Amino acid sequence: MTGNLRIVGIGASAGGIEALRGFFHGMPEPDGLAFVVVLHLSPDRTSMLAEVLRQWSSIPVQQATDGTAVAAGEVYVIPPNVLMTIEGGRLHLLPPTTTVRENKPIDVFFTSLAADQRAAAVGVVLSGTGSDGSLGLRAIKEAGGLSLAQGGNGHGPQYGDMPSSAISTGAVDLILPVEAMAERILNLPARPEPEPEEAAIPADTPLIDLLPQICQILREQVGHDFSGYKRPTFIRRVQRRMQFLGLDAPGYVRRLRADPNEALLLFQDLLIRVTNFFRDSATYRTLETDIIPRIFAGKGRNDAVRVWVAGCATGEEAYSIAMLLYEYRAQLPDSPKLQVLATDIDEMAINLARSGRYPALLVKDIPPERLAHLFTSTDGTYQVRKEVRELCTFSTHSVIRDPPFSRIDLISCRNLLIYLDTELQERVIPAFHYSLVRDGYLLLGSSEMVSRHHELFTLIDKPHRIFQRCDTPSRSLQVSSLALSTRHTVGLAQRRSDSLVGWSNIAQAAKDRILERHAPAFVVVDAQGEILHFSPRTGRYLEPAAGMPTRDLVSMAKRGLRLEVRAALRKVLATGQPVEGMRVQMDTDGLSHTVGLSVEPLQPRDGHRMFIVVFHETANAPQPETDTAPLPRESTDELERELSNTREQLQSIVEEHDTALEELKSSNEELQSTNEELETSKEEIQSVNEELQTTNAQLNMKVEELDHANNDLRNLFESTQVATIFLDRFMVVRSFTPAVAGIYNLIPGDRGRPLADIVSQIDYPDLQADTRRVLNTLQPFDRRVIRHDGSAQYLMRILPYRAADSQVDGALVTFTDITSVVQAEQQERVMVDELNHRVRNMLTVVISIATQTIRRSSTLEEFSKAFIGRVNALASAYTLLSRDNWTSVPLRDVLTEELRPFMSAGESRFALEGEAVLLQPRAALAFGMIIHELTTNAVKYGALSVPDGRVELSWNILRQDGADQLICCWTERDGPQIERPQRRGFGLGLIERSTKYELEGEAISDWQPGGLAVTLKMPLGAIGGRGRASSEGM
Amino acid sequence: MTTPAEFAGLRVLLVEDELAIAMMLELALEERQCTVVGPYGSLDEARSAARTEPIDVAVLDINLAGEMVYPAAEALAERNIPFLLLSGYGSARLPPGRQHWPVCGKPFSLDDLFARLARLVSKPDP
Repeated sequence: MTGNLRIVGIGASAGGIEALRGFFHGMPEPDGLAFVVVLHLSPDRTSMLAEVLRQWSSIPVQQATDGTAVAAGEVYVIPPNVLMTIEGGRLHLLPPTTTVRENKPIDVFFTSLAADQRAAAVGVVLSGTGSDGSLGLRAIKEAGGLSLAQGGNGHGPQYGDMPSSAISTGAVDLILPVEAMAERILNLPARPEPEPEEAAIPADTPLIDLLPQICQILREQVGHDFSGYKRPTFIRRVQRRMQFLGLDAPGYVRRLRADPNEALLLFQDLLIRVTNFFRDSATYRTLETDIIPRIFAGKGRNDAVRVWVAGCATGEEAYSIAMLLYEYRAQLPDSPKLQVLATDIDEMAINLARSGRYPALLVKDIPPERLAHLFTSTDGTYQVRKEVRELCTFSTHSVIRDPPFSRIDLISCRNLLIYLDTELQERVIPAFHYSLVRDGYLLLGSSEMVSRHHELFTLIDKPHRIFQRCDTPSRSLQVSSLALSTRHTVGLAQRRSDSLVGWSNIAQAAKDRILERHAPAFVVVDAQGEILHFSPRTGRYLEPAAGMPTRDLVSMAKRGLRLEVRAALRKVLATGQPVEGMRVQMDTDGLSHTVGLSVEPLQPRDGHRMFIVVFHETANAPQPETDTAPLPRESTDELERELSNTREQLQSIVEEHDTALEELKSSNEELQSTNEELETSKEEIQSVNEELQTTNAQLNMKVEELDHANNDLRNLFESTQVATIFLDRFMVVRSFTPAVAGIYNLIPGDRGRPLADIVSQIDYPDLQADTRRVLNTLQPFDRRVIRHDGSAQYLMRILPYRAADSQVDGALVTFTDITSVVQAEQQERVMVDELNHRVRNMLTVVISIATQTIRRSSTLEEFSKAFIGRVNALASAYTLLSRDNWTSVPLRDVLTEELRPFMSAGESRFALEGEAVLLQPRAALAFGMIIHELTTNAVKYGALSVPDGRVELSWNILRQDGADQLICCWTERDGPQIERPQRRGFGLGLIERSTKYELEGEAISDWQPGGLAVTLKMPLGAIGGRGRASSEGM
Repeated sequence: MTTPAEFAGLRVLLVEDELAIAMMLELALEERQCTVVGPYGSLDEARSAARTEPIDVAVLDINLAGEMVYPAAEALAERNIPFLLLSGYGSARLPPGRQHWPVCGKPFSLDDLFARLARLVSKPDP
């Protein structure tokens, strides 16, 4: 860093390229200057800025890199998507945390430039939208550096927001077109000496001796006394001007004396709204320890503390007071509501204030713990915490133009009155008096007083300019009837410059003297006839009207003049032409004299018409009588009285209207702040609403799942045949399945009734006791129960009912219909019995056969053959029967089965012929035995005992005596010659008996030459029936 | 072994649907010089004989081609004629209140059968 290097920071945004072109175009080699350009760049595109700048200027241009040391004669441009700071003459690049725009890169760089370069820093704000750069320029100015903003004059900025915002903060030294800027900066004096610390201003500075002179010049030129101003600040401001102009102290004083404009500039410099946080810490301490506790005293939860910060500029003072209130309130158990109304006429400043974001340099006076507690910090800027911001309502408002707020506890209006001339102060102080509550406080700047309003305020702390409201009745507010009626919008700044140039030269003094001594009496009135200015010696023509004080010219005009004055005014108002030389006869102290009256319009100011009314004292010449015929005295008096009354009424109505308007305005302010609160609440409610919606969606899903589960359960309930009753711990029916209806007379309405009350179809008196036992032991219990009418049997189970948490919460009684199972069991038992019986019977039969066979056998061989043959015959019949499940079997099958042992392969000694007949099991067995006996007999003695013998077996059904008879013929052929035996053998006997006993028929034997022929005849109904034809033909 | 003399001259009603068994019992009774009434294989014949025939004792098969012999037994009981039931079923198949009726299970030995018959006829009043 060279000793005399000045670093110029240039900030620009929209329209900035054009402005930079104007700035750099044709710029010669700068001596001892370096430029750093901070432009709002798109974060995701490569910047061509350096190349563009090179086209216009011979100065080397480079894109800044981290750690670049700034050297004279160079231009550095910011790369995209970074924040840049400077420290020790080197550039540093930081990644932005949020978007570049929100980070305000110009403020960030300027702030660091101010801290690094102090008085050598130069900041330039060019075209752009938004307010970036404003705070940075303030920081530069605070540090004693030079601040410039692009201004009109030919080629104004394409986008004026950024320069305007900077200008509105009062921090801009020079407002110039870009072309002029370059020249001005190049001609800056060399880098100044490091600025001395405030406390260490050398005592021998020549300036100190000249201070009283400077103060006096200021008093004369601009009408403000700065002798009470803090000396170090004062000296610094003057030094700055000196340095800027390149003058020494005596030279500067000369310049000041000669150039009223320089006095004005110094005045503006002195009035820079040095409203740092907690600036004048002693004042804030007094506020904190003394005034604020008094304001809070006696206020409860339902009360409000209202503070009005008038002329709040960029908000530091408003926030400082809000912080004090916030901290104080936190200690209170019953905290009242807080409201800080912060107003300024400058919308730009208000916007900056609302955001509550400040560069680090501006918060340096805040103690670290307060900084940590009440601010949030990002990228070298600090933002006031939301809680504090929410206390403050910022709005544009003029203390002169707009009605004041009401019910205010404390008004802070520091360094605003000094901008106002006495007349405006006259209006503002009573307005403050009106605004404040009884015993409310007013805080003014260090060089301000309430001057002529001691009846309204008592000074209670002189060093800190704290006043307390006196409880005098509020005068009717003069919220400029002119202003209200014409809605003029002249800003404070305008008035400021008007008043500054007002009374500053000798010519004016001479004019004053002439006016005072030699001019005729006159008044200046507005279009409504309100007197705006009195000349000396108007007393001959005017007098205060009775009643409320008024400045209405017609009311004040002396009797005799009124009508003429009014007529003349009307005429001038209507025509715009002056009225001159009117002569009016009037009586003064009984002497009649003539007064000349002329009214002429003045040059309108701020678009308001004004008129001068001049009263000439003329010679007491009698008037030509023809001129005017005076009206009859009495009627004139009457008219005037009436008019006066009407005027008074109108006046009071106007006042009431004004008051109502003021109240409306204050209500509006409150509504605005309420609205802001509502907005916040609305956001909160919205987020709560979103949460609720999510929860609701989840609930809906669960409800759907539940519905499904419920439907499944209902379907299961309705489909299940297992009758189930759900009981609670007290045997009350909780639910049941439809199948229960057959057992208990339950209808849906019976839910909630004790089970004992329900009529049951089963015999089971112990149900209650058993259920109670299950509930106690938690062991399931089974039992068979039968319906009263015996038509059904159920397996009843009692189970403990377990709720979701495994707690036993009642019992479950189920009934399973087991009627069919029981019947099957019984059937099975019967069948087993039957089987046993048959087996035993059969064994008995076998024993009987054995017993009888053995009696008729002579040898064991004979017995064995006969016995085994019979048992086999029996077995064959059984086999056949069991094949057909002990139903009927075809006769033919029985015969074939019995004959099988006697047929060898290919042999056909039997001929079977007959229709289909089905035999019942008993008959089949009997038939089987009969055929067996016949066959063994034939084998032993008959046709089958010889090789050629045959047997014909035929049967048919005959109708005899009204019933079907089965006739079955056994005929042996080609057998040996036989004779009727002497004694009926066992076999034939058995055949005959069996036919009779078991087939209810008869057997007839006939011994023929070819062999035995046996005819069996029996009723078909006793042995079976006709078979189907298809089973025929084996 | 019972002696034939104990049964000589007794009129014995024989009811059995199974011819082989009936023939065996008939033969056995005849050997003991009894007069056999029957044998009958159907309930109708049996009941009618039980009501009307002069009978000293009866041997009744319990199941006659699927019909129970009880009506015939009741008729005998009314006449105070002792009888012995032959049954392939277990003991429990008797009608309620008739559990005391004597039953001889099938299959049986003739000795056993006659021993029980002997006890029946020796009692003064069954």
